[in-house]
Amino acid sequence: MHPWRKLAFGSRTARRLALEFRNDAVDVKNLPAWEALALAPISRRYAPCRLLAVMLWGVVLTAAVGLSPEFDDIPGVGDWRVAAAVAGLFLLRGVLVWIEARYRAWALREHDLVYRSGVVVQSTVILPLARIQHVETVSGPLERAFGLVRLNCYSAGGLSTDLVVAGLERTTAERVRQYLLGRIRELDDEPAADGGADG
Amino acid sequence: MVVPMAEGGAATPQENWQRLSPWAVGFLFLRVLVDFVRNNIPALAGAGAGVALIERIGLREVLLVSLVGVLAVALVCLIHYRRFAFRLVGDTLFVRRGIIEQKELKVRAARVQHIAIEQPLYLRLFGLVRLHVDTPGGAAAQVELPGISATLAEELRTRLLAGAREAVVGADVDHAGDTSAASGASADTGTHSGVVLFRANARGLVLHGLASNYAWVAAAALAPFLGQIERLVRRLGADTAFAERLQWFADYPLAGALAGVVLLALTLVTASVVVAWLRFHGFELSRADGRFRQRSGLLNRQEQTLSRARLQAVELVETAVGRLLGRSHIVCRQIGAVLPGEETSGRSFLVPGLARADARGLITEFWPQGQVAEDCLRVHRYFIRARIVRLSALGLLALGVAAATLGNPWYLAAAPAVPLAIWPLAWLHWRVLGYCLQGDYLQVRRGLLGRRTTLFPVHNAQRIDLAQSWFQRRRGVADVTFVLASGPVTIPCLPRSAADHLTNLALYRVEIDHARPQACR
Repeated sequence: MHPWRKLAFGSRTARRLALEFRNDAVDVKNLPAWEALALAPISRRYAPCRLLAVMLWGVVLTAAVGLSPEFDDIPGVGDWRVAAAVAGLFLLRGVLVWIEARYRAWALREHDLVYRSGVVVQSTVILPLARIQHVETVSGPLERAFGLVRLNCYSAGGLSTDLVVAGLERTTAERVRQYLLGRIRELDDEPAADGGADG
Repeated sequence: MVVPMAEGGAATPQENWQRLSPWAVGFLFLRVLVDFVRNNIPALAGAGAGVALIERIGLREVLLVSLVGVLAVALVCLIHYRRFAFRLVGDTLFVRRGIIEQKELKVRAARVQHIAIEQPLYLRLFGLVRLHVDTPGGAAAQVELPGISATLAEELRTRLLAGAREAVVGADVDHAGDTSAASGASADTGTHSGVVLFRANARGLVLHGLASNYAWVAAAALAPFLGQIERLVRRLGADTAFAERLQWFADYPLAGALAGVVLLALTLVTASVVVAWLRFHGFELSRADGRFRQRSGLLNRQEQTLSRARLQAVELVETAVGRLLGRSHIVCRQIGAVLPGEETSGRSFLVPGLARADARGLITEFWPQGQVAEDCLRVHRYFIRARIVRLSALGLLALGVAAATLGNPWYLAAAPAVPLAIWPLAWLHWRVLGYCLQGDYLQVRRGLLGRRTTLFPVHNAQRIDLAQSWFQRRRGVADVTFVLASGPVTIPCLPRSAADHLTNLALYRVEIDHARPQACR
């Protein structure tokens, strides 16, 4: 049993509201339950990759602060202390990013793609495959060094990417992309999605 | 796709490359000039920079430069007109444009999101209209045909929409041909086939203006003249006779303040009613084979269509004043996000000044099974506490900043009052917040004093987000967001079990809906 399952019925109000919940047409008990889905963690290499990215920024900014004469004038605060504070903040961020990256998980079901991220605020995005219009794989130089790839999925109407599955290994991402493209073609009779207007 | 040559004898008139009406050159020219003046007059006149410029380099030189500028604009407009051409082949609109580099834009009917026909006053004199075609490709892919004849615009629209419907429904083209013949009447005679669903009368529009705040639209229109208004006020202030009259306000501060507030309220209300009337004069909503069409406007007559297949969500908006007056309006959300602030602009499909019964009836016109229920399920009470904590944090921060900047630590003594002041607001918000699932339709109600009820079929969800903070996990509640093609709809602090039910149901409906033949969608 998943830990929240116990908690969900912990409060009396929650229990009452859950009982009041109406549903006419479908036998909800027999619906496939997304909450029973076991999510698989993303690549273990994603955490060091993110940490390295944060640290690179940290080194650049700390050096900039340490070397610039702007902060010499602040009375009572030495030049090195500002730089140390900046470095400390980046170290903290690095730790948070590491923890967050290790918590990320994803799953591919027959009909949807699920991605969970966040530690304090945990957010789960579920994208039905029927809604995917277009899929692309992207990787920056750092991600390439770690052999990682991001999978961007786009659906209708949205101006931004609808789901970014970050931290997949290259072979996995390529297989998922192929699978998704195949499914889109299967689901959609229309020709492959193109822009609204071609130049 | 086989594209017949422009010179081909068998081609219909639309299939040849066509130009805009020659009058369009004039309109383009005027629009560029007016835009330039509107953007630069406040800078030049307001700061006296124009006078300084004339003194510096001389009036003749300034006039000469202006003349050269105007001629250049005229030349550019002429070139733009010469190189602008469009044609409709099958269900694809081709537009050729560009001054230096010629670009050809291809808009397939299936990709068209929204078509609007506008007829401002100056175009009405020539029997011309402006046609907007929106596609999901961003700003570069928006097509505007300024200055084509009303009949041609009507025909282009009918054919593009027929093509779009064909892609969705698979209807035969002959049928579409019928409608084009029937509704081929020009835009200003106002006759077309279809059932009239709603006509706004004068009383409804006045009430709509009172209920909705359109004053800011008027304010935005006046913005370029703010400099002049400010100078006028200053000159009045310097005027001794006027200052004496103002003395009365100083003698009776309370009455003066009251008079000021009443005057401001009257101005805002009058402006709002006038704008609502200009925008929605002669509003008429009608339906013809699965398409809804609205026409309205006093000076700028506009016409918009909405197909049921592209309708994502219907919003019933009852503002606080509107609830007192018993009036509401409906906003139909289509594919492609329009921000809530933009809904008063021409782009959104808005039905104004509806009485309670009219509004409910109209929603069943859009979706026969869609109904707005009065009694909704409330979300978890934890919502109140979360809201108080979040808003109090902001309030306390503001208080702290105020205390620090004013150097008066006694301000901090008010800190305990902040959550107490926020509590009623949070409670009110929670009381209005509700959701209700009837059949396939989910309804989400939000608001404080007003009400904004969003109704949509759950199978319209493009994506579902579940978010839980650490505190929410302990309470067993979650925020659920249904991302529609028209924008997100969030239900905060749902009991986790209800959230999961809704999610599973929506995912199931999406699949069922997709598995159905396309005609049903």
